[in-house]
Amino acid sequence: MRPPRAAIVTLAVIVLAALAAPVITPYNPAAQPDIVADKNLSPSRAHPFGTDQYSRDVFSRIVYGGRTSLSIAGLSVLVALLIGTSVGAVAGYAGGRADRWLMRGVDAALSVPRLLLVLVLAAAFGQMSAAGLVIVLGLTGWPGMSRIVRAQVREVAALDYVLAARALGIPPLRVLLRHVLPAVMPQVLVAATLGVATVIPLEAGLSFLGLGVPAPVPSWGGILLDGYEQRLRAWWLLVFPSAAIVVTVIAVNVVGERLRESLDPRLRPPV
Amino acid sequence: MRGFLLARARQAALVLVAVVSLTFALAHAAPGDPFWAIEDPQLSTAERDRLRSEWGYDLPVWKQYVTWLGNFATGDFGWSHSRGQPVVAVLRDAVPNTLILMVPAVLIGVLFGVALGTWQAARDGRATARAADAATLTFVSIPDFVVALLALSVFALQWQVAPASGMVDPVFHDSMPALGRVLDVASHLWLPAGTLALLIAAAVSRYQRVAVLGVLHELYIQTARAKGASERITILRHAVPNALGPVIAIGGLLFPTMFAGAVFVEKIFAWPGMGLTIVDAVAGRDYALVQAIVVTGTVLVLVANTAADVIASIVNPRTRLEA
Amino acid sequence: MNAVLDVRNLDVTYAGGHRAVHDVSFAMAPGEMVGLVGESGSGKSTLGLAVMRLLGTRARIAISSRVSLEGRELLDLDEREMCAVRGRLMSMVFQEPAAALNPVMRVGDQIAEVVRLHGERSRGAALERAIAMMERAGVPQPGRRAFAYPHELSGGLRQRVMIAMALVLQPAVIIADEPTSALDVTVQAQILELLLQLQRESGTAVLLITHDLGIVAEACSRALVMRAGALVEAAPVDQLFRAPAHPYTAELLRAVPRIRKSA
Repeated sequence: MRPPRAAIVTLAVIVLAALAAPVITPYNPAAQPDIVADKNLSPSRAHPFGTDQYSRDVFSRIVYGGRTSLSIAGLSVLVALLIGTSVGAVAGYAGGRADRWLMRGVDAALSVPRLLLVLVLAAAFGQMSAAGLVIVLGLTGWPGMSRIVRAQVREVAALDYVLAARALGIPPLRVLLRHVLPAVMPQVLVAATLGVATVIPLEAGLSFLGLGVPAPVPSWGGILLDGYEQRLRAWWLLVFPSAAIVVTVIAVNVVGERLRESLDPRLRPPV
Repeated sequence: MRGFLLARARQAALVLVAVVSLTFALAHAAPGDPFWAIEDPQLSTAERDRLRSEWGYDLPVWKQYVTWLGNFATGDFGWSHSRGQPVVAVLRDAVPNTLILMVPAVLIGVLFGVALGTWQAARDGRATARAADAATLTFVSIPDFVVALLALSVFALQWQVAPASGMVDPVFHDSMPALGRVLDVASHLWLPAGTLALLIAAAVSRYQRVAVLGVLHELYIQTARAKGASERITILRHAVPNALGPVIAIGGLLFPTMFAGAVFVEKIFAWPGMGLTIVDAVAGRDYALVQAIVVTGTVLVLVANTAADVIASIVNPRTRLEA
Repeated sequence: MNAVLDVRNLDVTYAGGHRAVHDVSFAMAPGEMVGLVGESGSGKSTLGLAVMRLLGTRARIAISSRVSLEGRELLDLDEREMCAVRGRLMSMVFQEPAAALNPVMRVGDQIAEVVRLHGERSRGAALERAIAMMERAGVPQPGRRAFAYPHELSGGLRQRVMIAMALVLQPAVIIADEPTSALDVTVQAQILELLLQLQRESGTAVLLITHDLGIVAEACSRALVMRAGALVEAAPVDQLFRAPAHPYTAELLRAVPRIRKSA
């Protein structure tokens, strides 16, 4: 595989920054020191990314926002992965009626735009905590994952070495867990990576609509909402969180696509 | 063909029943009472109870469910308390507005995306194609609403070449002659629809590029070249028709995403379609309206998917459905 | 001999560094059927593709190589001129007719395309010529079959279509890369017979690339033997079989399983 060095380095920086947030941020992201004097300051040495309408330091908010966005994205993809793999593996391996019915359910779920499902859940449960968001995003994400897993499991299950394992009398669950799933994992990993790249904008979008993590917790989408409300008065409220999201998503996408390329040589650029 | 469409219709009905049931279950599983008027502080307890039984919320849950399903089937989607209208009336305005936005955007976006993706595949490896690849990657990595925000900031607020919000001029629209009204809508349409088209084109182009690259390895491409076909003819007449099938199928999966994009575009440009309506409805906890829009949105996606599958089968003679 | 195809010092190296064809030289007389024999990896397919200049950026042909068709140096031509040559003066038949035909295009149109790529303006006229060629190629009911899609035809019919496509403009040279290998045994004989017949009728020289010595014995007048990219022997067919000059050729001949009568 052509290692995407730039992307990996970028991601490492972002993740480390998120982990080290309390250490590297000069201000408390929720602190509103001087609403009158320090409101909407453009970027300066004291505030590299400026301040927002409540005089909060934008740089600190973005770093902490990264924490929020990354952890929510990562955890929700994990949830989707766990449920999706289970359902997809069972459907793909068992085949027959179980497969048909499970996939009908999955197709039904996939017919509804994910955003709408999330909105319905938001309408039903009102303001959600971060944990609630993880569950909502995970629950709306597993159908897509299960399709990929099912397709892969079907392909692998038809391979000779799996047939050999079955012919040896190895019980089906063991065959599935020890022989089929490990072969399926690489493609699933690709899907999970690209899934993270999908969830980050979705979570940001929800925060932008005011439906994401509740107000005091900083999030990239939330900062964008502040920017939208300030329109042209504070371009730094639009540019920096956008850049943060875009850079992160591109990095994740590049890593995911390189992984995919390494599994299918046709996609590589010519030598 | 007819059999196929009937099967699809049946499938769609099942999906819709599932969606309606799910939303019903959610409404009752969620904290609080699904009966909306519970939040209205002006009502006395007696009033509230009376309305409750009038609306049927005191019936056993299973009975409510059956009534609910029945209502949906007959088109009675309930009352939108945030709008003070029957939900159907809200939809009657919102749905066509979304279609006015989405249909041109999807058509232009897909066309442009297919062209761009094909061009990229034809020039694979060269600097220009790599640059285009980087550009589309960046584009699809920018969240839809951020692109819309940027478009709004630049074109509407900064350069002022487009109105900043709405679908029609709030003051003068009704007094305009027919042609004037059409132009009014068009002037409000071009920026949001263009933004949405751009988002769609970027995504489609990436799939098209991969599809054409995959096809270019096939033996019949070499046959075409051996016949003396130029690279251009080889790609346009041999590669693209074969690549379209998989792209259309994938495109089918993109419809939900396109719809989500439309939701954000509508919100940011204040375009009065289904997207804007549902966002406001969620904020106002107008559950009946939210439900109805989810159901309608799902219907649209299902119709689009079926249309895409029909087109895909026409393109590929091996899977063509006989009439 | 007034060679219709004259290849000299052909040297082809793939992008990864692998030298697939080592300094190969041979010539073909008009109307001659020459067999190019070799095992997998001997470079015979690469040679065919190189002569047609279908290798693209995957491989490089050495500057010292020469390929001249009817006296015209092909390696000097630019892509547009080469496109005018392909299909009209020189054409190719591939091994897998199922994969080599465009699945979404009717077979008649695919043959007609060759005609239209090289000057015929009228769609109707091109299709007529295609149907006529299909008939000559032994496709039953060519008028109807022309409107079929490749997947609707049997393997043998598909290969007849490919041959029709290669011969419709009566090129001077055809390169047939394992034209029968993917077919059922009974069909193989028919297709070979067809190739021989058409070749005799139109006076086209054929370079028959194959790993099957039996085919060479049946159909070719001369044979070239390739091994690991180099041409190790070139001789008339009976001489080759009777008294192979190169030890590798002898090995190849020995490798053909023979059914012996007992004692």
